[in-house]
Amino acid sequence: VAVKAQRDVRIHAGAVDDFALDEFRIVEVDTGSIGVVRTAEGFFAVRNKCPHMGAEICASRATRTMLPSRPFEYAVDDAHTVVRCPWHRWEFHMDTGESVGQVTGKRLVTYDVIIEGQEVYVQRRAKQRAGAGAARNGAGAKGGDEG
Amino acid sequence: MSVIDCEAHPIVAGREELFAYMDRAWVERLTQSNFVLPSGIPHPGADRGVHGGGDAPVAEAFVAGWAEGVDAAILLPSQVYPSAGWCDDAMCAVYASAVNRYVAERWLPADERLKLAIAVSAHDPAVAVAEIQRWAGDDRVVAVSFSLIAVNLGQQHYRPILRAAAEHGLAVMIHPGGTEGLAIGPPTLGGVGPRLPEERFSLLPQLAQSNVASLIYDGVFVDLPELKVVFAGFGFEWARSLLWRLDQEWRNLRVDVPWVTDWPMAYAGRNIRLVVDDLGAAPEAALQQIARDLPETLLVYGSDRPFSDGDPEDVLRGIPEELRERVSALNAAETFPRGAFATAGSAA
Repeated sequence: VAVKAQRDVRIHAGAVDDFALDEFRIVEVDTGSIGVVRTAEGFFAVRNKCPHMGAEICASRATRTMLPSRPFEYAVDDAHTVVRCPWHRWEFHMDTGESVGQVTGKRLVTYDVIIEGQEVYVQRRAKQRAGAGAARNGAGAKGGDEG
Repeated sequence: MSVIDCEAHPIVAGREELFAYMDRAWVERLTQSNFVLPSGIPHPGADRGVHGGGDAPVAEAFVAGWAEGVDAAILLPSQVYPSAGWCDDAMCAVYASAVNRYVAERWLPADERLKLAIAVSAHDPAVAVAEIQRWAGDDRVVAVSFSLIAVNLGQQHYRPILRAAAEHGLAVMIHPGGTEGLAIGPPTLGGVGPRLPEERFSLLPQLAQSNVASLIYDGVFVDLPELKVVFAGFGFEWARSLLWRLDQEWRNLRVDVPWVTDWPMAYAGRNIRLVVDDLGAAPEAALQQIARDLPETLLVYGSDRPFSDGDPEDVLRGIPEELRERVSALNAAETFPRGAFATAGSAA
């Protein structure tokens, strides 16, 4: 579902009932698009562009991921729904935009979602990154490709 | 500068000498089946070695040829490794056990700087574990060594061996058996086995690469965080491209291996060691850059005696100056804690 956005600060993304669980609604904006989704944990909005190679990351359903576990004893993370890029399966938390498992220091751009009555709005301005500018990804000094 | 030689090979001088370390019934069985002691071939240069026959004092000859400045040498009984390609797993275990006892009695007393990586057969992990436990109290034993069968090291088949080694503070050392790609049992190389011995030797790194990936992705070091797995005789220059690639792919498959919580390069630096025993034909400058790009703990020195003359400089010239102390001794001291190797300037 595509909703053409106004250049307002708040963008109307639809009515609450329009949102099927874990299915993104795509809001077109002048700089691209934003995916808005209702999950078990609430509403989330993310830029529809993977920070890795630019794929439309919201083409997939929001999904569960796996927690670190003993080898071959998979443990589903029941506390978070994540978005997984269809190209390389990088996953991002939709509240913080952080990479699941810290496989990259790059983040997915995230937005605040506002519910008023039965209507869902996205705050046009991206969320501020907590601790922005700090070196977040200490691992991979030799393995990472992002500076 | 201290030097610890992490890869030297003892030689069992002859079949009859080995029989003294076997149960009489097995001696009879091996005699009846015309058992031939592996000579060390197909190691290149085997004919240059100190192969003696009968009661030749091979250990004494080895010690007499000891290179100046080498503080310790770990013996890998390479004649056991071809047994990965044998069909009789019971015989493999008896043979490995006899060779261990032979080397412990006939070689180790020749010089207290000699340490042993006992050989086990990987065919039957329970029997291998029993062999490890038999030697666990002998502080001259610093590692467990074997050649691979056609199962990758991360798979559960090997886990009892790896666990027993870790529990006793023993490193695990993997060495080619010489039959890779040749017979049913050992792993193939590159799909269909190569045709020529030299071709096979050039392609052995494929096997180490598969097993490094398996060890990391299959979570061996999550289960056994203290374990060190040392690849001897597989070269090292391939490691940089492999580890870069494993790092890259980890990001894409993290959800499949959620237990792998760090970069493969980081696991390699903590848990994997590669013996530098031969510089091959690569230019020194290229090798030095490769060494700089790898974790500083990854490489350890080995002479591959008696298949080389054992001059450490032949190999260490391929290592940049700032890493030489690590590669020549410090990394080995950390990898083989049971060796209690004293290293000049060691912070370990």
